[in-house]
Amino acid sequence: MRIESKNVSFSYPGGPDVLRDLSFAIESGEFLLLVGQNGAGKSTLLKLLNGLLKPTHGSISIGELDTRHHATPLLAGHISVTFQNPADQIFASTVREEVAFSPTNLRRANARELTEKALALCNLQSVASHHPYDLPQAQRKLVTVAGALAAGTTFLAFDEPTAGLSQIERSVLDQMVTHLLNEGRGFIVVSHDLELFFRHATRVAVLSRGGLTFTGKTRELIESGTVLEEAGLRLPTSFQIKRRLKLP
Amino acid sequence: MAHRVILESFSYQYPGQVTPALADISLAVPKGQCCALLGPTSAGKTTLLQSISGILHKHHASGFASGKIVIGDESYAPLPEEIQFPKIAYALQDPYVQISGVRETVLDEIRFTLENLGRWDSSTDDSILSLLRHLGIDHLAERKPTTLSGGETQRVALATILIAEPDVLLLDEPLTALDYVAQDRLSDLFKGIKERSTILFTDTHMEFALAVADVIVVLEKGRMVFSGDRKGLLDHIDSFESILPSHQWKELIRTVKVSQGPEATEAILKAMETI
Repeated sequence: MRIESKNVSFSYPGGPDVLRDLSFAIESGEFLLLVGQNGAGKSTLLKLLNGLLKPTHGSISIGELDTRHHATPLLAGHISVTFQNPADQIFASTVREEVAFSPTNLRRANARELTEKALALCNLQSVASHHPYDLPQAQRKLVTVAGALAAGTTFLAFDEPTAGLSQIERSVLDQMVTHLLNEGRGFIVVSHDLELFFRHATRVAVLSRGGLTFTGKTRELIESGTVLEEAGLRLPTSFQIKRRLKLP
Repeated sequence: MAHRVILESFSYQYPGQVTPALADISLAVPKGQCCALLGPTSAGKTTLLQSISGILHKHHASGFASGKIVIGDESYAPLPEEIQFPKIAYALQDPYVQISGVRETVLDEIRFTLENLGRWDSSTDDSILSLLRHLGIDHLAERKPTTLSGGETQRVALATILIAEPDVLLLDEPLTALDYVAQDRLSDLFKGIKERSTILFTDTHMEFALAVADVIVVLEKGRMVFSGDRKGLLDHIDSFESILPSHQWKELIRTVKVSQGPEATEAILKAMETI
Protein backbone atom coordinates (compact mmCIF):
# COMPACT_ATOMS: atom_id res chain seq x y z
CA MET A 1 0.00 0.00 0.00
CA ARG A 2 1.11 3.52 -0.74
CA ILE A 3 0.37 7.06 0.34
CA GLU A 4 0.84 9.64 -2.35
CA SER A 5 0.64 13.40 -2.13
CA LYS A 6 0.44 15.13 -5.53
CA ASN A 7 1.03 18.89 -5.71
CA VAL A 8 -0.89 19.49 -2.49
CA SER A 9 -1.55 23.04 -1.34
CA PHE A 10 -3.63 24.04 1.62
CA SER A 11 -4.87 27.25 3.17
CA TYR A 12 -7.21 27.77 6.10
CA PRO A 13 -10.34 29.72 5.00
CA GLY A 14 -9.42 33.28 4.10
CA GLY A 15 -5.76 32.73 4.98
CA PRO A 16 -2.54 32.42 2.98
CA ASP A 17 -1.19 29.02 1.82
CA VAL A 18 0.08 27.07 4.82
CA LEU A 19 1.36 24.29 2.53
CA ARG A 20 2.46 24.73 -1.07
CA ASP A 21 2.77 22.19 -3.84
CA LEU A 22 3.80 19.19 -1.75
CA SER A 23 4.57 15.99 -3.62
CA PHE A 24 5.86 12.87 -1.95
CA ALA A 25 5.04 9.19 -1.60
CA ILE A 26 5.59 6.55 1.05
CA GLU A 27 5.17 2.79 0.86
CA SER A 28 4.23 0.45 3.69
CA GLY A 29 7.39 -0.68 5.49
CA GLU A 30 8.95 2.77 5.10
CA PHE A 31 9.54 5.45 7.71
CA LEU A 32 9.20 9.06 6.60
CA LEU A 33 10.53 11.58 9.10
CA LEU A 34 9.06 15.02 8.60
CA VAL A 35 11.06 17.90 10.04
CA GLY A 36 10.53 21.65 10.01
CA GLN A 37 10.55 24.71 12.21
CA ASN A 38 7.77 25.38 14.71
CA GLY A 39 4.81 26.60 12.68
CA ALA A 40 6.09 25.21 9.33
CA GLY A 41 2.80 23.39 8.69
CA LYS A 42 3.78 19.88 9.83
CA SER A 43 0.72 19.27 12.00
CA THR A 44 -1.52 20.61 9.23
CA LEU A 45 -0.02 18.05 6.85
CA LEU A 46 -0.92 15.20 9.22
CA LYS A 47 -4.51 16.45 9.35
CA LEU A 48 -4.59 16.35 5.56
CA LEU A 49 -3.38 12.75 5.53
CA ASN A 50 -6.34 11.42 7.49
CA GLY A 51 -8.86 13.66 5.77
CA LEU A 52 -9.60 15.95 8.74
CA LEU A 53 -8.59 18.71 6.33
CA LYS A 54 -8.94 18.55 2.53
CA PRO A 55 -6.32 19.92 0.11
CA THR A 56 -7.18 23.29 -1.44
CA HIS A 57 -5.30 22.09 -4.56
CA GLY A 58 -3.80 18.75 -5.56
CA SER A 59 -4.67 15.37 -4.07
CA ILE A 60 -3.65 12.84 -1.45
CA SER A 61 -4.37 9.16 -1.87
CA ILE A 62 -4.19 6.49 0.82
CA GLY A 63 -4.02 3.26 -1.17
CA GLU A 64 -6.95 3.51 -3.56
CA LEU A 65 -8.75 6.18 -1.54
CA ASP A 66 -8.60 9.84 -2.53
CA THR A 67 -8.90 11.88 0.71
CA ARG A 68 -10.99 14.51 -1.11
CA HIS A 69 -13.78 12.03 -1.75
CA HIS A 70 -13.67 9.89 1.38
CA ALA A 71 -14.53 10.85 4.94
CA THR A 72 -12.09 10.50 7.85
CA PRO A 73 -13.84 7.40 9.34
CA LEU A 74 -13.17 5.42 6.14
CA LEU A 75 -9.57 6.67 5.83
CA ALA A 76 -9.08 5.76 9.51
CA GLY A 77 -9.12 2.12 8.46
CA HIS A 78 -5.77 2.67 6.72
CA ILE A 79 -4.01 5.48 8.53
CA SER A 80 -4.05 6.28 12.21
CA VAL A 81 -2.91 9.69 13.42
CA THR A 82 -1.97 10.95 16.89
CA PHE A 83 -1.67 14.63 17.71
CA GLN A 84 0.68 16.62 19.91
CA ASN A 85 -1.50 17.15 22.93
CA PRO A 86 -2.73 13.85 24.46
CA ALA A 87 -5.59 15.74 26.16
CA ASP A 88 -7.07 16.28 22.68
CA GLN A 89 -7.88 12.65 22.21
CA ILE A 90 -8.28 10.77 25.49
CA PHE A 91 -11.85 10.25 26.67
CA ALA A 92 -12.35 6.70 28.03
CA SER A 93 -12.20 5.90 31.74
CA THR A 94 -9.59 3.14 31.61
CA VAL A 95 -6.44 2.78 29.56
CA ARG A 96 -7.67 -0.52 28.08
CA GLU A 97 -11.02 0.98 27.00
CA GLU A 98 -9.21 3.94 25.49
CA VAL A 99 -6.89 1.70 23.49
CA ALA A 100 -9.78 -0.60 22.47
CA PHE A 101 -11.81 2.29 21.09
CA SER A 102 -10.31 2.39 17.59
CA PRO A 103 -10.33 -1.35 16.78
CA THR A 104 -13.85 -1.70 18.19
CA ASN A 105 -15.08 1.34 16.32
CA LEU A 106 -13.47 0.09 13.11
CA ARG A 107 -15.19 -3.29 13.72
CA ARG A 108 -11.91 -5.17 13.51
CA ALA A 109 -12.64 -8.89 13.99
CA ASN A 110 -9.52 -9.23 16.15
CA ALA A 111 -10.18 -6.06 18.19
CA ARG A 112 -9.27 -7.69 21.48
CA GLU A 113 -6.02 -9.11 20.15
CA LEU A 114 -5.07 -5.75 18.59
CA THR A 115 -5.78 -3.98 21.88
CA GLU A 116 -3.67 -6.36 23.96
CA LYS A 117 -0.81 -6.25 21.48
CA ALA A 118 -0.82 -2.45 21.46
CA LEU A 119 -0.85 -2.37 25.28
CA ALA A 120 2.10 -4.76 25.32
CA LEU A 121 4.10 -2.86 22.69
CA CYS A 122 3.61 0.38 24.62
CA ASN A 123 4.40 -1.27 27.95
CA LEU A 124 1.01 -0.32 29.39
CA GLN A 125 -0.29 -3.73 30.55
CA SER A 126 0.38 -3.02 34.21
CA VAL A 127 -1.69 0.18 34.09
CA ALA A 128 -4.41 -1.06 31.70
CA SER A 129 -7.16 -0.73 34.31
CA HIS A 130 -6.05 2.74 35.47
CA HIS A 131 -7.82 5.92 34.48
CA PRO A 132 -5.70 7.59 31.77
CA TYR A 133 -5.68 10.84 33.74
CA ASP A 134 -4.15 9.11 36.75
CA LEU A 135 -1.02 8.43 34.68
CA PRO A 136 1.92 10.83 34.36
CA GLN A 137 1.69 12.91 31.20
CA ALA A 138 4.46 10.96 29.46
CA GLN A 139 2.71 7.64 29.96
CA ARG A 140 -0.59 9.22 28.90
CA LYS A 141 1.07 10.05 25.64
CA LEU A 142 1.94 6.39 25.19
CA VAL A 143 -1.77 5.66 25.68
CA THR A 144 -2.59 7.75 22.60
CA VAL A 145 0.16 5.97 20.66
CA ALA A 146 -1.22 2.58 21.76
CA GLY A 147 -4.69 3.71 20.67
CA ALA A 148 -3.29 4.43 17.22
CA LEU A 149 -1.47 1.07 17.00
CA ALA A 150 -4.55 -0.85 18.05
CA ALA A 151 -6.44 0.45 15.02
CA GLY A 152 -4.36 -2.07 13.05
CA THR A 153 -3.83 0.34 10.16
CA THR A 154 -1.08 -0.08 7.57
CA PHE A 155 0.10 3.49 8.20
CA LEU A 156 0.77 5.30 11.45
CA ALA A 157 1.28 9.05 11.62
CA PHE A 158 2.57 10.61 14.84
CA ASP A 159 2.90 14.29 15.69
CA GLU A 160 5.87 14.87 18.04
CA PRO A 161 5.49 11.45 19.70
CA THR A 162 8.53 11.90 21.97
CA ALA A 163 7.76 15.45 23.15
CA GLY A 164 7.59 15.33 26.93
CA LEU A 165 8.73 11.70 27.02
CA SER A 166 11.68 10.65 29.12
CA GLN A 167 14.18 7.99 28.15
CA ILE A 168 12.00 5.30 29.76
CA GLU A 169 9.04 5.91 27.42
CA ARG A 170 11.33 6.91 24.59
CA SER A 171 12.98 3.50 24.52
CA VAL A 172 9.53 1.87 24.57
CA LEU A 173 8.68 3.88 21.47
CA ASP A 174 12.04 3.04 19.90
CA GLN A 175 11.46 -0.72 20.22
CA MET A 176 7.84 -0.42 19.13
CA VAL A 177 8.83 1.33 15.90
CA THR A 178 11.48 -1.31 15.14
CA HIS A 179 8.95 -4.08 15.71
CA LEU A 180 6.22 -2.57 13.53
CA LEU A 181 8.57 -1.62 10.71
CA ASN A 182 9.59 -5.29 10.58
CA GLU A 183 5.89 -6.14 10.32
CA GLY A 184 5.69 -3.93 7.23
CA ARG A 185 3.77 -1.02 8.69
CA GLY A 186 4.52 2.46 7.38
CA PHE A 187 5.30 5.52 9.49
CA ILE A 188 5.01 9.24 8.95
CA VAL A 189 6.46 10.98 11.96
CA VAL A 190 6.74 14.69 12.67
CA SER A 191 9.48 15.18 15.22
CA HIS A 192 12.27 17.38 16.50
CA ASP A 193 13.83 14.30 18.09
CA LEU A 194 16.32 13.72 15.27
CA GLU A 195 18.61 11.78 17.59
CA LEU A 196 16.05 9.01 17.90
CA PHE A 197 14.32 9.03 14.54
CA PHE A 198 17.34 9.45 12.26
CA ARG A 199 17.99 5.81 13.17
CA HIS A 200 14.60 4.64 11.88
CA ALA A 201 13.99 6.99 8.99
CA THR A 202 14.19 5.43 5.53
CA ARG A 203 13.55 8.94 4.25
CA VAL A 204 13.56 12.46 5.67
CA ALA A 205 11.46 15.33 4.33
CA VAL A 206 12.24 18.92 5.27
CA LEU A 207 9.32 21.33 5.36
CA SER A 208 10.17 25.01 5.19
CA ARG A 209 7.73 27.89 4.81
CA GLY A 210 5.04 25.54 3.58
CA GLY A 211 7.13 23.80 0.90
CA LEU A 212 9.30 20.67 0.81
CA THR A 213 12.93 21.68 0.37
CA PHE A 214 14.41 18.19 0.67
CA THR A 215 13.38 14.56 0.54
CA GLY A 216 16.03 11.90 0.68
CA LYS A 217 18.04 9.60 2.89
CA THR A 218 19.19 10.63 6.37
CA ARG A 219 22.84 10.40 5.39
CA GLU A 220 22.30 12.69 2.40
CA LEU A 221 20.64 15.21 4.67
CA ILE A 222 23.46 15.10 7.22
CA GLU A 223 26.05 15.49 4.47
CA SER A 224 24.17 18.22 2.61
CA GLY A 225 25.10 20.71 5.33
CA THR A 226 22.91 23.61 4.30
CA VAL A 227 19.40 22.15 3.88
CA LEU A 228 18.59 22.15 7.58
CA GLU A 229 20.07 25.61 8.18
CA GLU A 230 18.03 27.02 5.30
CA ALA A 231 14.89 25.56 6.88
CA GLY A 232 15.76 27.25 10.20
CA LEU A 233 16.86 23.93 11.72
CA ARG A 234 20.13 22.32 12.71
CA LEU A 235 21.60 18.93 13.50
CA PRO A 236 21.63 17.68 17.11
CA THR A 237 24.65 19.05 19.02
CA SER A 238 26.38 15.67 19.19
CA PHE A 239 26.30 15.45 15.35
CA GLN A 240 27.60 19.02 15.08
CA ILE A 241 30.49 18.29 17.42
CA LYS A 242 31.38 15.21 15.38
CA ARG A 243 31.52 17.38 12.29
CA ARG A 244 33.52 20.11 14.06
CA LEU A 245 36.07 17.58 15.27
CA LYS A 246 36.15 16.08 11.75
CA LEU A 247 35.15 12.64 13.00
CA PRO A 248 33.58 9.98 10.77
CA MET B 1 17.86 40.61 41.32
CA ALA B 2 18.88 36.96 41.17
CA HIS B 3 18.70 34.97 44.42
CA ARG B 4 20.54 31.83 45.45
CA VAL B 5 18.49 28.66 45.98
CA ILE B 6 19.58 26.04 48.49
CA LEU B 7 17.96 22.77 49.52
CA GLU B 8 19.24 21.06 52.66
CA SER B 9 18.34 17.39 53.14
CA PHE B 10 14.94 18.11 51.68
CA SER B 11 12.40 15.27 51.53
CA TYR B 12 8.76 15.26 50.57
CA GLN B 13 6.01 12.66 50.61
CA TYR B 14 2.61 13.29 49.01
CA PRO B 15 -0.45 12.67 51.20
CA GLY B 16 -1.59 9.05 50.91
CA GLN B 17 1.66 7.83 49.31
CA VAL B 18 3.92 5.25 50.89
CA THR B 19 7.19 6.29 49.28
CA PRO B 20 8.71 9.76 49.23
CA ALA B 21 8.58 11.77 45.99
CA LEU B 22 11.88 13.37 47.02
CA ALA B 23 14.35 11.86 49.45
CA ASP B 24 17.20 13.72 51.11
CA ILE B 25 17.94 16.24 48.37
CA SER B 26 20.80 18.67 49.02
CA LEU B 27 21.51 21.18 46.33
CA ALA B 28 22.98 24.67 46.05
CA VAL B 29 22.44 26.99 43.12
CA PRO B 30 24.43 30.24 43.56
CA LYS B 31 22.63 33.43 42.55
CA GLY B 32 22.56 34.05 38.82
CA GLN B 33 23.43 30.48 37.93
CA CYS B 34 21.41 28.04 35.90
CA CYS B 35 20.55 24.61 37.25
CA ALA B 36 19.27 21.70 35.15
CA LEU B 37 17.21 19.04 36.90
CA LEU B 38 17.35 16.00 34.66
CA GLY B 39 15.72 12.61 34.91
CA PRO B 40 12.98 10.35 33.62
CA THR B 41 9.26 10.47 34.38
CA SER B 42 8.34 10.30 38.09
CA ALA B 43 11.88 11.17 39.19
CA GLY B 44 10.59 14.07 41.32
CA LYS B 45 11.63 16.95 39.04
CA THR B 46 8.26 18.73 39.07
CA THR B 47 7.84 18.16 42.81
CA LEU B 48 11.22 19.80 43.39
CA LEU B 49 10.29 22.93 41.42
CA GLN B 50 6.87 23.08 43.05
CA SER B 51 8.31 22.80 46.55
CA ILE B 52 10.49 25.87 45.89
CA SER B 53 7.65 27.83 44.30
CA GLY B 54 5.23 27.41 47.23
CA ILE B 55 2.67 25.65 45.03
CA LEU B 56 3.36 22.25 46.54
CA HIS B 57 2.35 23.28 50.05
CA LYS B 58 -0.65 25.22 48.72
CA HIS B 59 -1.95 22.18 46.84
CA HIS B 60 -0.98 19.42 49.25
CA ALA B 61 -0.80 21.06 52.67
CA SER B 62 -1.05 17.66 54.38
CA GLY B 63 1.99 16.24 52.57
CA PHE B 64 5.01 15.45 54.74
CA ALA B 65 8.09 17.61 54.22
CA SER B 66 11.38 17.76 56.07
CA GLY B 67 14.68 19.57 55.66
CA LYS B 68 15.07 23.19 54.64
CA ILE B 69 14.77 25.43 51.56
CA VAL B 70 16.70 28.72 51.38
CA ILE B 71 15.87 31.38 48.78
CA GLY B 72 18.11 34.46 48.89
CA ASP B 73 18.31 35.42 52.58
CA GLU B 74 15.01 33.80 53.47
CA SER B 75 15.04 30.38 55.04
CA TYR B 76 11.99 28.12 54.99
CA ALA B 77 11.79 25.05 57.17
CA PRO B 78 10.82 22.80 55.64
CA LEU B 79 9.39 24.70 52.61
CA PRO B 80 7.71 27.94 51.47
CA GLU B 81 3.99 27.86 52.26
CA GLU B 82 2.91 30.72 50.01
CA ILE B 83 3.17 31.24 46.26
CA GLN B 84 5.65 34.08 45.89
CA PHE B 85 4.95 35.28 42.36
CA PRO B 86 6.56 37.33 40.90
CA LYS B 87 9.61 37.00 43.16
CA ILE B 88 9.62 33.31 42.34
CA ALA B 89 7.91 32.37 39.09
CA TYR B 90 6.97 28.87 38.04
CA ALA B 91 6.08 27.94 34.46
CA LEU B 92 3.87 24.87 34.19
CA GLN B 93 4.80 21.84 32.13
CA ASP B 94 1.69 22.17 29.95
CA PRO B 95 1.82 25.46 28.01
CA TYR B 96 -1.85 25.15 27.07
CA VAL B 97 -2.74 25.46 30.76
CA GLN B 98 -0.35 28.35 31.27
CA ILE B 99 -2.07 30.53 28.66
CA SER B 100 -5.20 32.24 29.99
CA GLY B 101 -7.18 31.95 26.75
CA VAL B 102 -9.13 35.11 27.62
CA ARG B 103 -6.97 37.47 25.55
CA GLU B 104 -7.29 37.96 21.82
CA THR B 105 -3.62 38.47 20.90
CA VAL B 106 -0.25 37.18 22.04
CA LEU B 107 0.82 40.71 22.94
CA ASP B 108 -2.27 41.15 25.07
CA GLU B 109 -1.78 37.77 26.75
CA ILE B 110 1.65 38.91 27.95
CA ARG B 111 0.35 42.34 28.96
CA PHE B 112 -2.07 40.39 31.15
CA THR B 113 0.81 39.30 33.44
CA LEU B 114 1.97 42.90 33.87
CA GLU B 115 -1.59 44.15 34.40
CA ASN B 116 -2.08 41.61 37.18
CA LEU B 117 1.13 42.82 38.80
CA GLY B 118 0.10 46.46 38.42
CA ARG B 119 3.18 47.05 36.28
CA TRP B 120 1.62 47.65 32.88
CA ASP B 121 1.73 51.00 31.13
CA SER B 122 2.03 51.88 27.46
CA SER B 123 5.83 51.93 27.66
CA THR B 124 6.07 48.29 28.78
CA ASP B 125 4.94 47.10 25.34
CA ASP B 126 8.47 47.78 24.13
CA SER B 127 9.91 45.32 26.67
CA ILE B 128 7.26 42.77 25.68
CA LEU B 129 8.16 43.08 22.01
CA SER B 130 11.86 42.84 22.80
CA LEU B 131 11.23 39.65 24.80
CA LEU B 132 9.19 38.21 21.91
CA ARG B 133 12.07 39.01 19.57
CA HIS B 134 14.52 37.18 21.82
CA LEU B 135 12.23 34.15 21.78
CA GLY B 136 11.84 34.38 17.99
CA ILE B 137 8.08 34.94 18.14
CA ASP B 138 7.72 38.69 17.56
CA HIS B 139 5.92 37.92 14.28
CA LEU B 140 3.16 36.30 16.35
CA ALA B 141 2.39 39.40 18.47
CA GLU B 142 -0.99 40.01 16.87
CA ARG B 143 -2.00 36.33 16.54
CA LYS B 144 -4.68 34.72 18.68
CA PRO B 145 -2.88 32.59 21.33
CA THR B 146 -5.19 29.62 20.81
CA THR B 147 -4.36 29.32 17.07
CA LEU B 148 -0.60 28.74 17.49
CA SER B 149 1.44 25.60 16.88
CA GLY B 150 2.79 23.55 19.80
CA GLY B 151 6.26 25.12 19.82
CA GLU B 152 4.87 28.61 19.36
CA THR B 153 2.42 28.12 22.26
CA GLN B 154 5.26 26.93 24.47
CA ARG B 155 7.26 30.09 23.80
CA VAL B 156 4.25 32.36 24.41
CA ALA B 157 3.63 30.56 27.71
CA LEU B 158 7.30 31.15 28.63
CA ALA B 159 7.01 34.83 27.73
CA THR B 160 4.04 35.29 30.11
CA ILE B 161 6.37 34.20 32.94
CA LEU B 162 9.65 35.78 31.79
CA ILE B 163 8.05 39.22 31.52
CA ALA B 164 7.58 39.23 35.31
CA GLU B 165 11.40 39.31 35.67
CA PRO B 166 11.47 37.00 38.71
CA ASP B 167 14.44 36.60 41.07
CA VAL B 168 14.07 32.86 40.73
CA LEU B 169 12.74 31.36 37.53
CA LEU B 170 11.41 27.80 37.71
CA LEU B 171 10.66 26.21 34.34
CA ASP B 172 9.07 22.78 34.07
CA GLU B 173 10.19 21.11 30.82
CA PRO B 174 10.37 24.33 28.82
CA LEU B 175 11.77 22.60 25.72
CA THR B 176 9.37 19.77 24.96
CA ALA B 177 7.90 21.25 21.77
CA LEU B 178 10.84 23.42 20.70
CA ASP B 179 12.96 22.70 17.65
CA TYR B 180 16.74 23.02 18.04
CA VAL B 181 16.87 26.57 16.72
CA ALA B 182 14.18 27.70 19.16
CA GLN B 183 16.21 25.94 21.88
CA ASP B 184 19.30 27.90 20.83
CA ARG B 185 17.38 31.17 21.20
CA LEU B 186 16.23 30.11 24.65
CA SER B 187 19.78 29.23 25.62
CA ASP B 188 20.95 32.72 24.55
CA LEU B 189 18.07 34.22 26.50
CA PHE B 190 18.99 32.23 29.63
CA LYS B 191 22.56 33.52 29.39
CA GLY B 192 21.26 37.08 28.93
CA ILE B 193 19.10 37.15 32.10
CA LYS B 194 21.65 35.66 34.49
CA GLU B 195 22.14 38.87 36.50
CA ARG B 196 18.42 39.15 36.97
CA SER B 197 17.23 35.60 37.56
CA THR B 198 18.53 32.37 38.98
CA ILE B 199 17.10 29.62 36.77
CA LEU B 200 16.11 26.07 37.63
CA PHE B 201 14.62 24.02 34.80
CA THR B 202 13.68 20.40 34.31
CA ASP B 203 14.36 18.33 31.22
CA THR B 204 14.34 14.71 30.17
CA HIS B 205 17.26 15.22 27.75
CA MET B 206 20.84 16.33 28.46
CA GLU B 207 21.66 18.34 25.33
CA PHE B 208 20.23 21.69 26.45
CA ALA B 209 21.68 21.27 29.94
CA LEU B 210 25.11 20.75 28.39
CA ALA B 211 24.70 24.06 26.59
CA VAL B 212 23.46 26.26 29.44
CA ALA B 213 23.66 24.72 32.90
CA ASP B 214 26.22 25.65 35.58
CA VAL B 215 24.84 23.04 37.95
CA ILE B 216 23.41 19.71 36.75
CA VAL B 217 21.42 17.36 38.93
CA VAL B 218 20.11 13.96 37.85
CA LEU B 219 17.15 12.54 39.75
CA GLU B 220 15.78 9.03 39.67
CA LYS B 221 12.81 7.87 41.74
CA GLY B 222 13.09 10.82 44.09
CA ARG B 223 16.79 10.43 44.76
CA MET B 224 19.70 12.48 43.57
CA VAL B 225 21.93 10.17 41.53
CA PHE B 226 24.26 12.87 40.20
CA SER B 227 25.17 16.43 41.04
CA GLY B 228 27.98 18.26 39.32
CA ASP B 229 28.91 20.21 36.22
CA ARG B 230 28.84 19.49 32.47
CA LYS B 231 32.14 17.67 32.42
CA GLY B 232 31.06 15.52 35.35
CA LEU B 233 27.88 14.57 33.51
CA LEU B 234 29.80 13.51 30.39
CA ASP B 235 32.38 11.64 32.45
CA HIS B 236 29.61 9.62 34.13
CA ILE B 237 27.49 9.15 31.02
CA ASP B 238 27.47 5.35 31.28
CA SER B 239 25.49 5.55 34.52
CA PHE B 240 22.56 7.32 32.87
CA GLU B 241 21.91 5.09 29.89
CA SER B 242 18.51 3.86 31.06
CA ILE B 243 17.25 7.19 32.37
CA LEU B 244 18.53 9.83 29.93
CA PRO B 245 18.78 9.75 26.13
CA SER B 246 22.55 9.44 25.97
CA HIS B 247 23.24 7.04 23.11
CA GLN B 248 24.61 9.64 20.66
CA TRP B 249 26.75 11.30 23.34
CA LYS B 250 28.15 7.97 24.43
CA GLU B 251 29.04 7.19 20.83
CA LEU B 252 30.62 10.62 20.46
CA ILE B 253 32.73 10.27 23.60
CA ARG B 254 33.91 6.83 22.46
CA THR B 255 34.92 8.12 19.03
CA VAL B 256 36.67 11.19 20.44
CA LYS B 257 38.55 9.02 22.95
CA VAL B 258 40.07 7.09 20.04
CA SER B 259 41.59 10.27 18.58
CA GLN B 260 42.09 12.46 21.66
CA GLY B 261 42.64 9.99 24.49
CA PRO B 262 41.40 10.57 28.04
CA GLU B 263 40.88 14.31 27.46
CA ALA B 264 37.87 13.50 25.29
CA THR B 265 35.22 15.25 27.38
CA GLU B 266 37.28 18.47 27.53
CA ALA B 267 37.67 18.36 23.75
CA ILE B 268 33.91 17.88 23.33
CA LEU B 269 33.01 20.75 25.64
CA LYS B 270 35.55 22.96 23.90
CA ALA B 271 34.12 22.08 20.49
CA MET B 272 30.64 22.84 21.84
CA GLU B 273 31.69 26.41 22.66
CA THR B 274 32.61 27.00 19.02
CA ILE B 275 29.33 25.81 17.52
